Amino acid sequence: MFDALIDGLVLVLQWKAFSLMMIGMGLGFIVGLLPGIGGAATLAMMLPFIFKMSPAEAFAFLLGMHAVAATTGDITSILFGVPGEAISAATVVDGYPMAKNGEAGRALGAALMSSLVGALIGALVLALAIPIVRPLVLSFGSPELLMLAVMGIACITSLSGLGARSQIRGFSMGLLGLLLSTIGQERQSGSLRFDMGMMYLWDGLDLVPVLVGIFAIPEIIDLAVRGTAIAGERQPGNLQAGVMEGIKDTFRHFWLVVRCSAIGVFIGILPGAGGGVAQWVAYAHAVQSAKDTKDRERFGKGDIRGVLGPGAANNSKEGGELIPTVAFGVPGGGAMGILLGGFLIMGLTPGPDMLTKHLPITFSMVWTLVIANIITVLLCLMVLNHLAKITYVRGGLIIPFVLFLVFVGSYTANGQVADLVVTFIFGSLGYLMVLFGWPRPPFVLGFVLGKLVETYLFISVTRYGFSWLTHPMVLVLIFFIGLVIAYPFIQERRSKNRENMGAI
Amino acid sequence: MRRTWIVSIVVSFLITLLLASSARAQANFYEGKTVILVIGAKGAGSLIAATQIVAHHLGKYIPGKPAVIVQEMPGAAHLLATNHVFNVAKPDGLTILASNPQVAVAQLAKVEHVRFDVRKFNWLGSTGPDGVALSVRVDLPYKNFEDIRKADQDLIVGTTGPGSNAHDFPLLLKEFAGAKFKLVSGYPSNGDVMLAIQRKEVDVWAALATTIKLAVDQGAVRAIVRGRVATPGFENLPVDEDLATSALGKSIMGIRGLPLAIGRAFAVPPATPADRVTVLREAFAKVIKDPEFLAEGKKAKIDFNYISAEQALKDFTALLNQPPEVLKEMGKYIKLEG
Amino acid sequence: MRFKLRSLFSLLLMIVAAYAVISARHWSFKAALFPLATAIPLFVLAGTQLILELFGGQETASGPTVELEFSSDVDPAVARKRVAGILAWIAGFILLVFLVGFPIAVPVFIFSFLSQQSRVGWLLSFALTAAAWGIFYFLFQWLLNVQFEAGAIQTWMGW
Repeated sequence: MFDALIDGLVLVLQWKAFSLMMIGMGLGFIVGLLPGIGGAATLAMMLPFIFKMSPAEAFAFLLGMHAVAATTGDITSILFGVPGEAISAATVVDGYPMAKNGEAGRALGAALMSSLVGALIGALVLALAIPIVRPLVLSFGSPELLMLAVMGIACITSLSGLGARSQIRGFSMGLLGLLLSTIGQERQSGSLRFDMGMMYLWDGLDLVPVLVGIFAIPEIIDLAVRGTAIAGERQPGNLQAGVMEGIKDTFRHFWLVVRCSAIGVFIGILPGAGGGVAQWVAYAHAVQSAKDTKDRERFGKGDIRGVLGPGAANNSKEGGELIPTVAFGVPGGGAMGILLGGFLIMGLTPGPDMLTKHLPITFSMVWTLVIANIITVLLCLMVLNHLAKITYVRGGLIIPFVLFLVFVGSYTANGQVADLVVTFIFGSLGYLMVLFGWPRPPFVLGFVLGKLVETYLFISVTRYGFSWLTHPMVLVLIFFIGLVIAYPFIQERRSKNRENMGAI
Repeated sequence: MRRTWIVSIVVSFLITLLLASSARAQANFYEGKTVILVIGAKGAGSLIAATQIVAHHLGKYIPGKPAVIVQEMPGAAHLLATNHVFNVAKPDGLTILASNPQVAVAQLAKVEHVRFDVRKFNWLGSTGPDGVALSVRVDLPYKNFEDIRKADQDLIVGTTGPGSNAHDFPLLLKEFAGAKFKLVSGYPSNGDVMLAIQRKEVDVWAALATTIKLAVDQGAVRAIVRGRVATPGFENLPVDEDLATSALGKSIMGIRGLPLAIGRAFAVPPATPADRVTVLREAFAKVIKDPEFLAEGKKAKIDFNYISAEQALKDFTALLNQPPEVLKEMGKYIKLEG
Repeated sequence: MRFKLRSLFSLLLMIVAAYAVISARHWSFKAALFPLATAIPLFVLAGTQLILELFGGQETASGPTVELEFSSDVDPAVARKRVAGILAWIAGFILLVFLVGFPIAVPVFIFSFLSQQSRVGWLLSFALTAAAWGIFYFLFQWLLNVQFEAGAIQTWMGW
């Protein structure tokens, strides 16, 4: 296996493969920045180009692009409050407030460094897992996957704010997300639900227009109302210090970053869970790591940990997602589905072959992730300060550009004007949600996980009746779900006790 | 204030018109143009891969050597793309539909949103039929279809939902050939069913022959039954229609299988000028013989076989000529893909 | 009973949930299960929230919503006007895309917004619009080859 490791590295360092990787990275950099246009859509557009390439070259190109997009997606989230990628939405929650506080440089540095750490951990896990990957993925049947999806939903308690009313609102939004995910054709019976007679809704609401609308539009409205630059009336301080500060923060909270990377990898490994979930679970975990309720209140207002968590997770999941894709041909996420198309064109079959006969190619993918991320960080460091200056430009100049990018990006999801209307509708909904204090993250979680929960629930029940509830792994997961749900309440109880103790 | 509004809009309009009107009429129509292959699917799959390979080489055989790209327009199981090319796209020979003939079944079943008639499309030909195969997990003792009929408990079939090959093929075998199947549907993709097979969560899996062949080669499954179209490696398997115990079952299976026999067909809108249709048909017939084209197909393990436009049209017309009783029964089993 | 504008949102949620339940009542078991399992609790929770808002006491500020909060340093009347304004611009942009397609809508929108709304000078507006159009053309049309639908007006005129 060690020779394959070295062979993989050599494959990536070939002149042609390396330059293709750089080109892919350049594309990924731009695509990640542009809101709405996702890694998946661009991967699809780039597929025709890989015909003439060898497998290592093709994957260096495609993965180089995808890996970088995951990092730069955070940049737009922080600077404009607009998710550059669907997987970067969680970074908006604390990243954008930091930009509004004039701390854009710091947030960017933190996102960058945590992305690098996440990516490296993801690649490491991918490499180490190769011997055990098949038994690992095979041990998760439909019931276990169902439990994991439910655990994702259970994170809502951590994302909703404390107090009965906040929890009610959080769960309501989660339920709304779950409900809206049922729009479209139901997979088991083929019947159409809530399509209101429109063919557009047959396949359900697409994630990109909804996500971009719900996170970007309220932020833009807020900017328009304030009438100032994103960073307010402040003067640009020493931005270089800002970025370095963010990098140092990554190491100050190193174990949090590692844990969130682990979360990202793990969720990536699960077929179908997708990166949309990883960032929120990591974010919820970061919130849970708050020492007490007072500490917890800083989340959502510009706490660096809220940037570190998702920043790490959405990169580490790249490594995780490759595992089921390469070892089984089951896409770990949307973009991986496109990558599988690349496999087909290359004449490679995902499966045991990739882990034995073609192991060097698999390792070349690992190395691509590592090298592409390291180069991105180094290049970004030089550019970030200038990017951060954008937060000091007058809002009136920024808004039309952001709007144009937001809507074009949302259009590329399905290529229909209806996408723009969806963005507008959810943008308005998002605005009302923020205005009246209903949290958006639980909605997103419900929306992303809804189909998974329903699908695996039905499969589990049809296949096993109800006996699956007694499968050992399922029981373990139920226990963890209970923990996840209860955590915020435990935390609140503990801090109240501490206060009482202090008062005495 | 009002005046500056109007002026600014007009000015920006004029600027854009000026910039946009750079495309002038060409002597040769296709020169410098882009031909778009519209496909109603997204992501990966042999249909998309095959279309990509066609796009890669088709331009060589069209006079003027235009660029050819693939545009993905997913939605409603290919209905969106088919509707679009039939009604909305300009019939100038620059937009070609990479169709999934399954949409003809939607037209047959009078699905609500169908706004096309497959018989009115200008078909260019097909790159080859697809076969279907049903397979059983390798560690199970069932060696042929008789074993499955005589099984003492139901075999679990994993499917991706009504309307898919994975669902309809086993369903018809269960209803009309006595197979002991229990269908568990809802798996997001064929890859997930394959994973479920390896996890021993399901026992039986049906899919396109190319897909099943890959799994057979990996030693995961054993192929048992095939559809009417014979594909390399599966010629000796029994055909589902022959296993049907009633004439009705045989008809319905036949209807289900007909679109696959037409395979990956390409078409342009009805009003396209006849000379352009001819140009495209010839380009099509030539590209299928192109050695590089075939090599890429071989690499992707896709079998390319030319089916002429006339044959495709004949098959579509035959498909739509069904006696009403058969249609009624069919509606019970065949729904549209999710 | 305290009537707040925010209660309308809770009411809206209840209406959405009710619509879902009513639509689902004729569906097969499998198709209706999940929608009902989510819509009914949603109706109950939203209803609870509505009642609490109308009749309950002031909310004890117990922790943030872990979320964005709109800046409050602008006078509410001005804020409302600006919100309406930006929403109108966005809706206008979408309408423009529908009528004339992206390639024309983008420069028209950017130019109009900059010169009218942001009160930027003509020359700067023109320059920025040209820059935006450049990005649009090279990035989306040339590099990424995105196909943009023709606008309604172009289709109607047969262009």
